[in-house]
Amino acid sequence: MDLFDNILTGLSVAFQWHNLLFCFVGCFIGTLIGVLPGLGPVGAMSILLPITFGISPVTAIIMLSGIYYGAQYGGSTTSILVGIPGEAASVVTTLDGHQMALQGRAGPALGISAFASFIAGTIGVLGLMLLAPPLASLALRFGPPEYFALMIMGLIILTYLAQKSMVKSLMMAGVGVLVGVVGLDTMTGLPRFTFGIPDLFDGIGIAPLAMGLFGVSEILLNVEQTIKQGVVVDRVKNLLPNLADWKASYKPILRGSLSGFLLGILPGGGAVLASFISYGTEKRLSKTPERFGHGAIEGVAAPEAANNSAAQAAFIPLLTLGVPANAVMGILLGALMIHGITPGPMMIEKNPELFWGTVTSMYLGNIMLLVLNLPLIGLWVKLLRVQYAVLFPLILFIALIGAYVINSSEVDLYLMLLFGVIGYLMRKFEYEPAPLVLAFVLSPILEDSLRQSLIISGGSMSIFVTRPIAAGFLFLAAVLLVSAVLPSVRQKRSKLVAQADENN
Amino acid sequence: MNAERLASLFWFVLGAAAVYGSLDLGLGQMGQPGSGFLTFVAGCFVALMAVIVFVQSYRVDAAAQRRLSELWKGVKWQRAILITILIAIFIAVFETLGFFICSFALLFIIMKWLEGLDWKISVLVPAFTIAGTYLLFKTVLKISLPAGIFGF
Repeated sequence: MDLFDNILTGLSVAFQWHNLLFCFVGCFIGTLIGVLPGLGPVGAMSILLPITFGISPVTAIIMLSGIYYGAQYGGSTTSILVGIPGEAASVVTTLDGHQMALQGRAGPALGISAFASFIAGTIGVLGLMLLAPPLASLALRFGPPEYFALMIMGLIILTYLAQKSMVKSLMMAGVGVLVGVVGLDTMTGLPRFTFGIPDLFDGIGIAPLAMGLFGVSEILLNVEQTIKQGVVVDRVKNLLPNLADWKASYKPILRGSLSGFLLGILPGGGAVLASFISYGTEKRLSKTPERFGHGAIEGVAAPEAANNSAAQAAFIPLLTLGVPANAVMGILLGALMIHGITPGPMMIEKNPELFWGTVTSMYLGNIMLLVLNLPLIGLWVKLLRVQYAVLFPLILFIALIGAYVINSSEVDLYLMLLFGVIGYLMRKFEYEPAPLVLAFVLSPILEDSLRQSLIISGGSMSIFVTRPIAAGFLFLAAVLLVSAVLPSVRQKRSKLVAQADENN
Repeated sequence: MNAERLASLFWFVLGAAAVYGSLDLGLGQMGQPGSGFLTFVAGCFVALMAVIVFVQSYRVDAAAQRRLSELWKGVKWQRAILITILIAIFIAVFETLGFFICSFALLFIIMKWLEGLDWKISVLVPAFTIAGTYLLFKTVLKISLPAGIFGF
């Protein structure tokens, strides 16, 4: 089948009425949770995972994907109108977007943000269509050593790019592996760290872990403070950017789309990082960098483009290698496994309708999001006026019920609370939860590939350096580790951390 | 003790406990790794990183020291503890008292007692949310929610 046949297959799936409906539902919920501070796509997707049990795998993935990329769109609305990022990938948008709103230009800021997201999302989908099949063919050459090396590289990249201490992030990756081994050993059937609790035999679920570390901990941190949600405008006017806005923005949008896509493919990369890097790039390239932070439209266009194309690109490692690039993709991996589908190099060939249907629906989803975010902006403004005191109990309640209904297990609720408290303390003590979650998700594949590699090699670690692809991945990981220790790189990292602190 | 050092000690103990547990599980041999092999490696790694953080905490980084020494300064941390206790109670009685009673009590207590919202909001918002959630999970998705000792 050539590309056009594949696209036609995808369109025939995506245009089925129930897939259109669930795509819309996903985009709507995504926008909603993007707009509301306190519940990111990881939490929302975990909560809604049980809803997907009763529907087909294609429809389930279409809806869950919609939540993910929808949240990237919605997050910018809160960043611009309130000055609080609705979603982690929208932190940078706050800098210039909110300034534009304060200067009475909320409309063009929201408009360029939506259009940049749409353009980048489209570029991301096209890249996904073109790159995924050849990458999947390449991945067929991957054996256990290559998979092991790839995952190590992904974890190192994530920790290298961590905003705070790299040592702490590496430690969190180690903790993630430890949490991931809880449950029955798949090779020997031996229970590990289950303490005789039957609910733990299947291991700790991604939903209680992610909802605890990201959702509950966020609520605990927020209730400590008095949150003032000051929406700066009553009614948003002139959403369409003018010619000068477009002239200033089209290059940043294209650059942001490209860099976001490349960073999104990397395991450990992702939308948050992409938005930070594209903002920094535009500031550096600008002839008037002093305008950044004071309402420069490029400062909205570039990061919004970057985070959206990164969100689409993050599907590539999952769908072609079966390796989730971030926590959100980890949940998607979980959803696919529940439906009996193992993502990996053979998935496109074995389940063309699932792959092409999902990818094509993303394009339709991008169009839906443009409609949801521009004409319906009034609805989101109204939503932003709801007090946090009303919102957070509801978010907490939905998280609790969501965590319970997955397995009807009280233990899952206790785990969610435990990880919520741990997440709260981790953030207080400046430990990032993302490496923990990614390592947790990768842990079963990491363990299997390590053990299989050692069995193949008869116990020799040289298997990881004698096979070129595995050696290449590990070499890159080693370069990153060594460079992080170099004084010049350390200074640069410290500067970036300081900048990020200022921005937050 | 310095907050950074206390945290690193916690992670060190966790890593050491994992190493201890992995020995029980069995490390196997290099050519046939056992159930505890990865746990052993990861436990050692966590403990080593904890030691590095501990040592690094003696290096003077004024900004980081200030941030960590003011962890709970100027925030109402008692509210976070109260919410944690409320969630723990909710979980403990959820299956016994059932979905409706526990959910309403949790939402009402937070909204009325903790947040000081007026009666109308504290009753109506939870009522509609609980009804909507019940309809979605029980009626639409056919997922069971605990009825509790009162049978509803």
